[in-house]
Amino acid sequence: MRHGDISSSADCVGVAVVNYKMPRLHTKAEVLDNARKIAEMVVGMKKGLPGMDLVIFPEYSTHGIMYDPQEMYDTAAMVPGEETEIFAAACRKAKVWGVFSLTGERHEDHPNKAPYNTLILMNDRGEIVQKYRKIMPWVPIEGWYPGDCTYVSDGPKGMKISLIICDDGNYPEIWRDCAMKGAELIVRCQGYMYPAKDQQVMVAKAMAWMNNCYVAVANATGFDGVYSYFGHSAIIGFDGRTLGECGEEEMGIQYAELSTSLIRDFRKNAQSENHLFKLLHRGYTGKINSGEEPTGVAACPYSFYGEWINDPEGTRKKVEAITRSTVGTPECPIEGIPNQPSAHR
Amino acid sequence: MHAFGVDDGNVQALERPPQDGPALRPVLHGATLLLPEAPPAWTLPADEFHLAATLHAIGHLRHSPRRQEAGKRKPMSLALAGAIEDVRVDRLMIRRYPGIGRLFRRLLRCQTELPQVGFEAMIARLQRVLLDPQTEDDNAWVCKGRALFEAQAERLDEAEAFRELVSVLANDLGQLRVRMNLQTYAPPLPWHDDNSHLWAHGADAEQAKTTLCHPPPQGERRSVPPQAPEEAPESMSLPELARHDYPEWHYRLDRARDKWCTVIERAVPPTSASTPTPPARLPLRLARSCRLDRSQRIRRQWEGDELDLDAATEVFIDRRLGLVPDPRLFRRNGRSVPRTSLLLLLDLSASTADMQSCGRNVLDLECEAAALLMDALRNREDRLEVAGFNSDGRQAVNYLRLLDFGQAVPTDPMMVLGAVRPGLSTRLGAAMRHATARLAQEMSAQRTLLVLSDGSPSDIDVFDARHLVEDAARAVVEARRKGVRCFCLSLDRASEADVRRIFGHGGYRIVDDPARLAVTLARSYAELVGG
Repeated sequence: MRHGDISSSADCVGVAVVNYKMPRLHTKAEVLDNARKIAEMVVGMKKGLPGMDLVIFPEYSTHGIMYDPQEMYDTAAMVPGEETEIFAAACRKAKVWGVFSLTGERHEDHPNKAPYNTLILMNDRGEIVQKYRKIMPWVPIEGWYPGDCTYVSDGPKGMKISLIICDDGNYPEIWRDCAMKGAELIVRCQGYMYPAKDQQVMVAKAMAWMNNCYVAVANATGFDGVYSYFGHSAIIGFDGRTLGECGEEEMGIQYAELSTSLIRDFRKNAQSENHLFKLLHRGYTGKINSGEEPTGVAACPYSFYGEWINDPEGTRKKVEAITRSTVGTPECPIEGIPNQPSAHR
Repeated sequence: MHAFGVDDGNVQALERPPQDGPALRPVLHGATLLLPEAPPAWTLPADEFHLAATLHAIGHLRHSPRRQEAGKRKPMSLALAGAIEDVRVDRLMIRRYPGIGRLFRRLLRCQTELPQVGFEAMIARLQRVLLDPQTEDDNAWVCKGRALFEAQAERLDEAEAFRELVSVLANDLGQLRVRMNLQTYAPPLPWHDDNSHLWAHGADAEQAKTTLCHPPPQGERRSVPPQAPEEAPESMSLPELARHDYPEWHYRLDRARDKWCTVIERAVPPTSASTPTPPARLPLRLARSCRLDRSQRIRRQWEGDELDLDAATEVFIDRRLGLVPDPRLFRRNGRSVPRTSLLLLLDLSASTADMQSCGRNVLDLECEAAALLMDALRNREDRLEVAGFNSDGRQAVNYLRLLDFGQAVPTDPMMVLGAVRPGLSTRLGAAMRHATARLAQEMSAQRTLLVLSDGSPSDIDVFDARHLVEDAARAVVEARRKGVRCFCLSLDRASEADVRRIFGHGGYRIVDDPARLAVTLARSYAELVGG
């Protein structure tokens, strides 16, 4: 866990995050032009950061946000496809791994179904190693088709990497899911806008701490005519402390070196704050003192999760009982989002 | 039991095949006590177990309220309420028959010691101090329970008086995080029954409260809240004939989504016209307009558009022969009445139950218009299909075949129309695409689709009010491209903007006055078929 240098080592993965300026695009040709700019930036960054093993661009950095539904469907990409070919050439040329955003990726049933919001992890040979589809689209605004699975892949120098996107990160479940599957670095690409700046800076640090993992956040900057993006791309250590964090400058870059041995050593030897271990060895000291099994309790004590898995619809009803029963709310209606129960007419 | 005044009381042996598991408990079913063998750990004479269980059951039969609403009370709260009730009836029996107290106390003191923690143990300790005044217990919760119970001791006859203390003690147990094992819990004293007679659970309780709901009478604007469960509409239960997938136009994406809607053709058996017929009106007089028909050539005419070549040849022959030639040299095209295929599409959605200013609902007016047309077309060569539609989301657009092309129009139109009922939604575009496909198979010179509706498409899975209007407008354009004339007779003036968008300025008429229905229908028909 080092910050300040431009190097890396056999043990440390050099990670860069980019405060990419949110583009405002309308056509496929414009998207491909922008992809080429990103590719040039990858190659350029590697010159300045010779230790860089992994470069991370924010959500929406390739396509921008298509506020027009027709443009959104027309520019939805195939993955792999033309855009990823451009990135692959850059990764091969610069010999770095990259995380790139594709908003969106065509649904298998395109155009009958909405595109996915997709993030790819590409290796230094230009191969797609992980393709993650956003599980929690930022409703009611985002109209992406929801994904349903997280992944963990071997990244540069063997570091285990999971990708998550923006609003995904507001739910502690996804961090735990990735970390418990073995992720050592969780990459959160976001196109997060004001007003929730302070909250997002806080969430990234809290989740790194609670899940004993490195976190790399790449966020957009600038104004796209609709929203203003707050940047603050950051690299955070598994102790929840920030190694390096951008401000709000457009195209700002932060860089840090993440040790693979250090996090593995921590997870092996840490005790009081080893949250991953402790969650499945609950109260082992008390159990030892009681003459019971010395490994503590493994069973899940949180009944909500059992209910959710065994009875999603019933659990939804319970949540609606403490919130509301329609996706929209009549006190702040949004076009196309129902705020009354459906009725035949 | 009879000795204690329980006249209908009865005791039967409770038997169970030998198996592992907890010892059986007495069960009180109605006034019958099902009594098992004494548990294996019972060290006293078995008779005393049976006696104690019977006396306790008599206490319940004489003093306990039966089948109380369990409601949303948690299992721990119900178990605690049962335990307090057990003590209350035992104390009432002891107060009336002090000898029972001596028996119970002796049995209590012979019970093996229970574990000190857990819900069952807490209940056992509380019951012990309440039934045996000489027993002491240092547990704070048990002491609190004893104090609260004794404070109500003067009101032992009133079961209600003990509800609050149950609530307080259950809450305390919750806060103490005392665990209850639902699978193994049983009242700790073995002669106590399982208390199943005290509670009415779940379905029973709901059933007891359920009252039959009657649907609102037809023809009234629906006043039920939208979330009220609807009865499955009749159309969903009609036999299915075929399924067809159609695209739907998405105006925001500017593209059609392929195979988006499924139209389900359903057969509608003719009714015996038991439904009241709409009020009799003057029969509809439909104009039979003729038009030029090139297949009809009229020869040897005084004037015309073309020369009649045969006549011209004869003129020359006559001239050579020196005869007076026939001056009727011309040929012209004749006129004929073209055969028409007309498809009458009735909107059967829930909104057609809405009352109009004339005091009748939309579906009534639709049926009257359809009946007038059927009467007028009965003896003509024109072919007629009558269909109704409604929808329940894009996967189920019902197309009810009321009268098929080629079928004879029945004498009483209500034999066809009597089965229609308002219900479900209005996915007009999909229904029109299917109607167009039906018309496309017709060989008639004119193919016409006449929609009778209240004019505003909607469905439960569409939340953009413009979407289905734009889709229906697209369906009209597609139909017209295929040579199908489309016209809408809308029976609700409020929907005019939507109908105009869908069918165009000349493609609709609004009629909400039954007195003008026949006239408007005749004019519309004349424009459609005669124009």
